Amino acid sequence: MKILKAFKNLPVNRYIDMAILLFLLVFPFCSSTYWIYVMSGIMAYIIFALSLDLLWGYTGLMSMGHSLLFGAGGYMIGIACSYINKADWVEYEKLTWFLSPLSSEVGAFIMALLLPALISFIIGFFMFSGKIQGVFFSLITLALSGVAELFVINQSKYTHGNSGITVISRTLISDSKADRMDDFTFYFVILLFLVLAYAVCMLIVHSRVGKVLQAVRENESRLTFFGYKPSAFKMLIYTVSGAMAGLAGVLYVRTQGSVNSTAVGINLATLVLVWVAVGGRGNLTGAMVGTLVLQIAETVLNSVFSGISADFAQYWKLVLGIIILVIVFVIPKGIVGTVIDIQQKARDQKRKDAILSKEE
Amino acid sequence: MSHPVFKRQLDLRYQKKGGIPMNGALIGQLLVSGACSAFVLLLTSLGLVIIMGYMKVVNLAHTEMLMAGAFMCYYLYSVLHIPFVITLILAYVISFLFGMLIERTVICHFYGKMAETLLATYAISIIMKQLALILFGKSYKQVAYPVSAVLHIGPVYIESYKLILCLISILALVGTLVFINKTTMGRKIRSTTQNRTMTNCLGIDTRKVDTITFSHGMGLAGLAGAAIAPLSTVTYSLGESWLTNTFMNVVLGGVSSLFGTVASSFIIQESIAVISGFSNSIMGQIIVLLVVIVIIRIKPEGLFTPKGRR
Repeated sequence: MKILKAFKNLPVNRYIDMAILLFLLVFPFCSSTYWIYVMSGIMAYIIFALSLDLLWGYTGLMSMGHSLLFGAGGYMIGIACSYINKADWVEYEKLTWFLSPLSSEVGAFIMALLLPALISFIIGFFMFSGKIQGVFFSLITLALSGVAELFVINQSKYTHGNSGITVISRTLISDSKADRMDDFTFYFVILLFLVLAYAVCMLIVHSRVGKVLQAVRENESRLTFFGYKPSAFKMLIYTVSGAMAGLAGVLYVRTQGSVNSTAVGINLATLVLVWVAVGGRGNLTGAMVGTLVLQIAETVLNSVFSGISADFAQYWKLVLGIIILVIVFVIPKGIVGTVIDIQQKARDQKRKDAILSKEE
Repeated sequence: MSHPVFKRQLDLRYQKKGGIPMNGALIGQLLVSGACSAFVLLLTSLGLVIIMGYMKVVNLAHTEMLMAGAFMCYYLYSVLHIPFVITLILAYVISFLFGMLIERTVICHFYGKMAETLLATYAISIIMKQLALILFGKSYKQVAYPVSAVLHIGPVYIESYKLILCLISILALVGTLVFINKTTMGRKIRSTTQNRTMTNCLGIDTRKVDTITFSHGMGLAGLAGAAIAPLSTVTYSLGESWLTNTFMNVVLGGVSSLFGTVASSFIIQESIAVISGFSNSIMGQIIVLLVVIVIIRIKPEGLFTPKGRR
């Protein structure tokens, strides 16, 4: 009975979470291989969106270049794979010293998580321990992401320039073709990672650290007066978020079987912002809903319109721009944020009515 | 500059490329072209700094306005053969009107809300870019130089159009300074920035002031876009290539004094030019961006700003 009551008192976004989990569990049993493949990619993107939500939604740090960390993870796997399998464009004999862990498969996986974390830690160290606030953080991350794209194209010795790197797909750590799983199994591997990432996010958000992070978002100077050090917390969450974005990058690259310069560029950084903004920030559900809705919509519309016009992608981006404008105007809290607000209002009304009827 | 290691590296580099003898001339050439680029950067980021400094609005659509200005230049100057000076003025006017439209319909609803402004201007920039892609296609368009003479000053070559760009940039800077500091409208703009409520009480329509400030910033962006069109290939992704440098410039120079912007334009472009001489322009950009991050760690208010930043 108690459990039932607790269940009833949950905020509405927890129901949505459960619905999404159920949907993702059932989905592969009733859809084609193509859709399982698409959904695997979307789930990797969801992890990416969650990592941004931790940073933007909970801590108020709007990173406009989060794809830098995503791509850093992806490229570590890409470089390792091309080195181990001796891709035909590889001309170097040995990796340079800081890339040397990539010569082993496990090392590459660890590097793919550590390097984004390290990058975000260093950026965070310089920005947060000074007094860089708000919008300047956004601008610098945006600039970093823009430069990173050029950098990746420029360093074609390791990254194969514009063409990108082909990676052995549907394996987790191994780089040999023999270890490839089928789409169905790999889907559940990614789902497992998604659930883990979500659990980690929930853990962070509901811990004391998470409360402090939300305080950073609400009023940083007041937090300083309480004796906290906001910069340390910001650095911590940026690092965690970076590692998570790196993980998302790894999984996405493993799903797609390739990595190229769009993975670090401004385009993807925009996309992830849009997902989180549309879904609603500051509750982990929003990031998931936004990613699911927009990515599924894109895939469906793409298959519908590709027969009519070859340039579907550019119209879709135009539509995305309009969607952001509409969202910012109409529901600035995003879909899930608005739903939570409605539920909260209804509950408040109920409580009010109950008190009033008692008084009478 | 005459450090032996430096010189040897340059020598080696040019011997490989066919043996241009190395001397101070190359350094001089790099410095001069760096200075020209600095003026270009100043011109392209002026509008952004004004909107940010006086309105606390980060206009992410700024670089797309550059792109739009470049397209205006292409259609007015190269297609319709309107004289270049009039093209520049027209680009300013059209961008001014466009800025007015954007401000009245979108930006004015989001004053004081940082995340919402960023998202809204980002949305506008995406829409502008995609519209340009759909309307004008992916093809590259070339705008001929209005003046094509190349000047030789000793061993250093300067394209005369770059000198004209420097002139345009100085004119835009001086014009803006005069506009802000000497005219009644400028006084209204400054007083709105300092104390909005008080300004309202004095009977000044601050909404109108906001509109004009924003439109002036957008107008300058359009003007800059038209001015740089001959230097670069006009295409829908022109804005993106300016994004990093303009925003870096704002971050380094701070927003509350235009002098900071001038100085940081020079610092950024001169270092990029010199580093590009040794390696390539992308490495130059990366190194400068990293240095900027380190500098603002030490001087978080920007180079020359007296006030705190938000």
